[in-house]
Amino acid sequence: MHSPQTLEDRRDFLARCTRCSQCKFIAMPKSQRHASACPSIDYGQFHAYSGGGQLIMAYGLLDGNVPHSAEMAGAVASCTMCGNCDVSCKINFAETVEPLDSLYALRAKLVSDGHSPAPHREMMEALHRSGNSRGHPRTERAHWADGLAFDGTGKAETLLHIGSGLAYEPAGWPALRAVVATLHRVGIAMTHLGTEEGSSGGLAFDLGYVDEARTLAQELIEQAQQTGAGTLVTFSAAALSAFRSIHPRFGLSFGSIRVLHITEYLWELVQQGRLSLAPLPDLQGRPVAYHDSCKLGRLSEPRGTQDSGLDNQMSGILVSRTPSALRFGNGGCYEAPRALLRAMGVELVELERHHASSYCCGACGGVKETVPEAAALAARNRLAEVQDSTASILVSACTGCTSHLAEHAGSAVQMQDLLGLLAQALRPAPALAG
Amino acid sequence: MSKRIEIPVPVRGELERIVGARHISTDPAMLSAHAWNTGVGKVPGAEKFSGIWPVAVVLPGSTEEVAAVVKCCLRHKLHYKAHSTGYGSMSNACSPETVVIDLRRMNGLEIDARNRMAIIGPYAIAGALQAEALKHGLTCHIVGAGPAHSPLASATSLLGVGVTSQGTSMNARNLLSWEWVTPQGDIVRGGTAGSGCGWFAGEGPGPGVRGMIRGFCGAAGGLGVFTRIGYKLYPVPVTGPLEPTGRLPQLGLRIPDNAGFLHAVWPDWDSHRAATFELLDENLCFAMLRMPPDHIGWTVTGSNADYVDQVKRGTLPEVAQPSNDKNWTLMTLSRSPAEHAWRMGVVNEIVQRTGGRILELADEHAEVLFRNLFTSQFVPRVLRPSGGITTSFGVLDSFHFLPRAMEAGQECLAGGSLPGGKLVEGGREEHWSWPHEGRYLWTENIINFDPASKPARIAAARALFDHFAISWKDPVGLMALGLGPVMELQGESIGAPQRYIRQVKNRLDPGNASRSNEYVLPVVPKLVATALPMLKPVILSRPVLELMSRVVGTKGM
Amino acid sequence: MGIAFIENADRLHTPAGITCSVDGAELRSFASDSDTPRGYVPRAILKPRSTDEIVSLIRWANDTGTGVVPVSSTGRRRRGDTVPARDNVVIADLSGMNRLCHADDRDKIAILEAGVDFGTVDDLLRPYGLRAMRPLSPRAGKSVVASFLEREPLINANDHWDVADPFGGTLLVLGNGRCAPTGGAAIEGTLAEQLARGHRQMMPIGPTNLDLLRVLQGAQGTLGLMAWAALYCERIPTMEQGWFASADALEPVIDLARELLHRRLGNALFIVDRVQLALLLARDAGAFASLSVALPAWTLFVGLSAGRQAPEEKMAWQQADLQAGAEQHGTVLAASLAGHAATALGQALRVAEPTSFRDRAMGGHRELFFLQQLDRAAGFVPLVRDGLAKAGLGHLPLGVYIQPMAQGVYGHIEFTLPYDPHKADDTQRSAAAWQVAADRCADAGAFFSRPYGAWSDLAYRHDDGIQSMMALTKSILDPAGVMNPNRLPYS
Repeated sequence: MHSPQTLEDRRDFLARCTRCSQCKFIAMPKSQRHASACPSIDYGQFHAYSGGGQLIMAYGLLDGNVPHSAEMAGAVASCTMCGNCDVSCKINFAETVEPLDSLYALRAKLVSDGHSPAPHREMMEALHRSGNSRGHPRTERAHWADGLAFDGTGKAETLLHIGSGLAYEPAGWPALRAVVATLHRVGIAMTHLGTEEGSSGGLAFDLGYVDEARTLAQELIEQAQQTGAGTLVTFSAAALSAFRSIHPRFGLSFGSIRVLHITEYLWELVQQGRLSLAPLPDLQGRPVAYHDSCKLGRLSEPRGTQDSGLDNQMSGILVSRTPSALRFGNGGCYEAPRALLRAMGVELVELERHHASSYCCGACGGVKETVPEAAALAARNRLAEVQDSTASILVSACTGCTSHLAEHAGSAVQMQDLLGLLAQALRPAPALAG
Repeated sequence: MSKRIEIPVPVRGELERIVGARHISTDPAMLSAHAWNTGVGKVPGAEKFSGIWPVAVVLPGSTEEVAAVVKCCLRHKLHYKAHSTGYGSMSNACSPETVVIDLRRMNGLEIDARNRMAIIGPYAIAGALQAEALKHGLTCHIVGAGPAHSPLASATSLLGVGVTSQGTSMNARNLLSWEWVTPQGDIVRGGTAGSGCGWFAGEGPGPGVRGMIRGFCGAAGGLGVFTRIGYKLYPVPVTGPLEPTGRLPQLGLRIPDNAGFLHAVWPDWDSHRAATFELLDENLCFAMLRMPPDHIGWTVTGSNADYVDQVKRGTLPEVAQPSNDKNWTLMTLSRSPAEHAWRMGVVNEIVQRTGGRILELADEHAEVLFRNLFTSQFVPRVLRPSGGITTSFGVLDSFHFLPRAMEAGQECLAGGSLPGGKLVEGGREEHWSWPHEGRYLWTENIINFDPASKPARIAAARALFDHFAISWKDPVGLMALGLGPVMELQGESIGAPQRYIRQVKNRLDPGNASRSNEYVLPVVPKLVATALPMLKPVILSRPVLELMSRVVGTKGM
Repeated sequence: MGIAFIENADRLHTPAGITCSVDGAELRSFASDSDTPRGYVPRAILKPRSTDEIVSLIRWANDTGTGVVPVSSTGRRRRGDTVPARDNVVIADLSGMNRLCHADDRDKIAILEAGVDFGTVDDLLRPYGLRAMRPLSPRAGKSVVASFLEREPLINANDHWDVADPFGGTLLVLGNGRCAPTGGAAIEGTLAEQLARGHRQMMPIGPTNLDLLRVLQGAQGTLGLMAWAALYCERIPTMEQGWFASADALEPVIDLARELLHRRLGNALFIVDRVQLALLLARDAGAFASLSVALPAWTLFVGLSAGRQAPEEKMAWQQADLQAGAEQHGTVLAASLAGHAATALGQALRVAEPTSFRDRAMGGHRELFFLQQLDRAAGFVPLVRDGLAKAGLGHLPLGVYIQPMAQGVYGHIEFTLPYDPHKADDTQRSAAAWQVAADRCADAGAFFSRPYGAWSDLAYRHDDGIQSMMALTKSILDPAGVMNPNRLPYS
């Protein structure tokens, strides 16, 4: 059985941190204001809050130099697990340090040692109880679909995975329903998991609850496989990330089911000529920035079930045993959302930090629930980046990012969920519509 | 287990009142980053944590707060050690009574474009400074530590040499006016800032007293805290960010219009040197860098796995082939097509006339090499193969010494980096060479080793010590690493600078509260001071060098 | 080293072997200079001929509590730094140490003793294909080493990377009587041994954590002396031409200078107003008077050169770029002004004459100089002009010279007030007005990096701790306080 590496497994990787600080900064900054890669150290300031700082703390925990403490837990809990440090580190160190894997292992260590922060424990309890971390009743999970042409679960070619963020966010339902309706109109046979839709396990893994993550992942995969669907389309960036980069750590996969994010799926249909996108008058002539969500972006880069060990060759060169599986952040879901926006006639501008180096908005990794001021600072930092661009509209394809950024956007930046825009613009292609 | 001291509660309270409760920690988790023995530039021991942990780390937000922290430490007989980004082990405490002053919150950065300078705080990193400078058609010198280092720290407190020194000088000369919290906690502004005239010049009125506290090398935290400086920038014919190319981690930059980027090789070092003297003529190049081919190989491959695979399959590009070791990477920057044509024509002509040839570079490789040179990302990357690195030589003299430096580099490595050796496999020597301001040579022989292997650490230490023996036997230019204890051995034969430095240290910091292991030894008994130079032959004898290598390879340095 | 002493007529025991003069007239000549009327008469003038003799002299001074005022130049002195500021002082006259120790075309560097002056240096260097970098038309007797030790600005603005330029390694003799090799000279062996091994003393900084060259620069001989120095030189160009770029206002000229500095275009660059340019060009008062009227208000002199590498091609693009830059910034580019060719001026600048060009027209001059950034330079001009006018001296010509330094990071801003020293009224009134002008400039941000005479008070009126650093420096390098005592405020 595959298991994610433990902190002990990561000992040599931890030891190789040279404390170069590259993990704190994006590879190619365009300004000082937006040079940071790490919301955690932006909040905590102490080096221990950075990716590298956590590696050092983790090593100290292993070798007995650093006992558990509230400050350690606080620093670990301030990390959004966004993976930007990993991307930056690899500019210099490629396969030899790989901070993110160690950050996951550190969180798992805190859990196994009984030092998981209380909010994390509460989130996990809610997840156990009701299938979502915020404790919404399971019975309400499928309200979004009330009255739609399909009325719940069943066998169909395409399985829709909604994710708890959207499933319990009534404000997002009109867009969700509109998109689903359009898909119906072009003849897509769809189903969904209804109130029984499970968690991807991604959040549990982020919080360090490895066994729970495995169980949740297994359950969801079984649910999906039982539908007989050939394609799973998720509306959740976090779930996509879990499917592509967390499940493989357990040796789990959806097997023959193809897994796509809704943006990938819709763009595929557009390219196939089954859907078209109408220009959105409200956005004409207004530059729009796209926020690469960590989960949809670098954290959705597919991961294999590979051995992540290194061999020592040429008298000290540390070489990945599975080089083809090395991840540098390039393989995330970056292009489909952009392509959809362009197809809507949107004038897209890139923020200073984009694609694999995108700055986390602070919503993920349990930070919002545990260290809300850190999450708020990250959001403000990200929004400041928009204000320093030519755009005043920021679009995200991640429900979590959208709602979190919207909370802090004020009047200077207009926050838009991509799904909402798609709901307005999607049309059956003329031939099909006719 | 390391030696640790608890800070008294009232003292912590005082520090809290200075920096705010959020900006102080005494928790081992927060302190761990200041006891991490990375060994970068040195040879680590087997233990990852140093034996010394600080009592606290504070994050001051202003010069006044730094001064208050220093005075608080002095009142309570504590030591302190300031750092900026803290690359490698530069953030480490040097005594168990140390308060680490992490200057992260002091990241001021102001570009004065018309006067080609910046005013920066300790945590304005080079990558960000370069980005801000480029908005105005300027760039900055970036030392080997790469874009994530602090130019202020480099300019005031460390060495300050970097791969583009041909066009961007070195940081001891890029430092303009300076603000400094003395070891006693007083705020001193040197040069123009002291007279309220701006930050543009560091010397005067009268003598350039900065020379007492920052020479070729700075005091590495051993002499108070530098908090703000004027910093010279360099014009480039590009305004705004350069266009990125490639994909992570192989990011490149599109080579700008009217820029030249060539890689030339020569058949032997004599012809290479002859060409060098001509290439230095009339500032033809903005940057000139000689890298050992294996290190070029590490740069044009995205991972160690890719590199080793290509070595085995023989598919590395020509620039990374071991036979092309007598090389220069040449970057020219021009403002007009005519100037560009002249520079490229002359460079090509010199290369041809001196028996060299210009290698074909695939765009992908040229762009990656260009970016790594322009941003100095090269150097942190040299740690990728093994994570262990130290260096040797320095030279700082005429290019006359280049062939000899290469020989000396080979002597120093003694085949350790050849197949079967204990160092990372590479060339016979591993010199990185570049000119400064069209004038003199800097060349350092990089010693790459596996820090997790004791035999490798011992071999690295031996190579490092042999470098001193080789340099003293037949000097190959100025010894760049003549610092601390090394200067106790050498100093008397070159004017005894260590005596003055010791006086500076003891007069400014009589209690050695501003404690650093990389500055002068504050106390050397007279007998020892007298005996050491005489013992130099003994210390440099083979058995003693072997013994010292074993000790360092085991305990670290 | 044992030091023997001889007793001279003044019962002064001086180290044996060092030429000593106690000639009354010669001694009295050191008690004042062109702008320092009253100082102390030294007891003797000692003329060492070697580093060993300098060391002997300084050790003797330490042993006897005698002050030492170093002088390396000859001819008419000014600025007061060589006028003893207390009694019981001897002059250490290094002007006899005037050998070229080494020159190297390949590395463009030469080692000069302290007494080599601008009148002879290029003759010494010419056989090696080199010539000295130089300030604006220094007088012939000015020591090259002393000039740069005083941080006199170079007209070779593009090669002035740092204030230490054009120094490489040097050999200092400190006030404590010890030799201190700096930079590239701080390496084992004698100079001869170093040269034989191939060392070229090219590094200006160090050794290790110390940069004593930088410390002694600007110290006015108060900390030690320089016996010799490696100095970066220019390779004699294959082709060379001068250009004048002129405008009615200063700003366009500065903008052009900035652009050329950013391009590293030009082997010589400086800005002058019509009076200063007239002082440079005129051979006599009449010519000065007519040129002062005929010349443009502001002029940037640009020297273009090309060396061995495709010189015609290089000159062509440089000329084209200069022309384009001049037009872009609204200046008029000319090969000559009022019948004076810029190329000829460039050549003339390399010919040092016994008298300062600033004295040529009217017999005397006052000078006021300081540092500030180039974009603030223009603001000082009306300050000084108005001050003169208010003092009733508006009829006197005022010259302005702006020398970009550190490749344009800042500039040396110099005002020259030529006057007839025989006109007592002008002399007296200009002295007072000049001090007022200095005060007004100081208030406006002038940085007196070289605090000569009365400017010393202005320079040190802000004490942000620098004086305590000076005191520390003095106590370490010259613990007995023998070097040029009372010259700078060390205590």
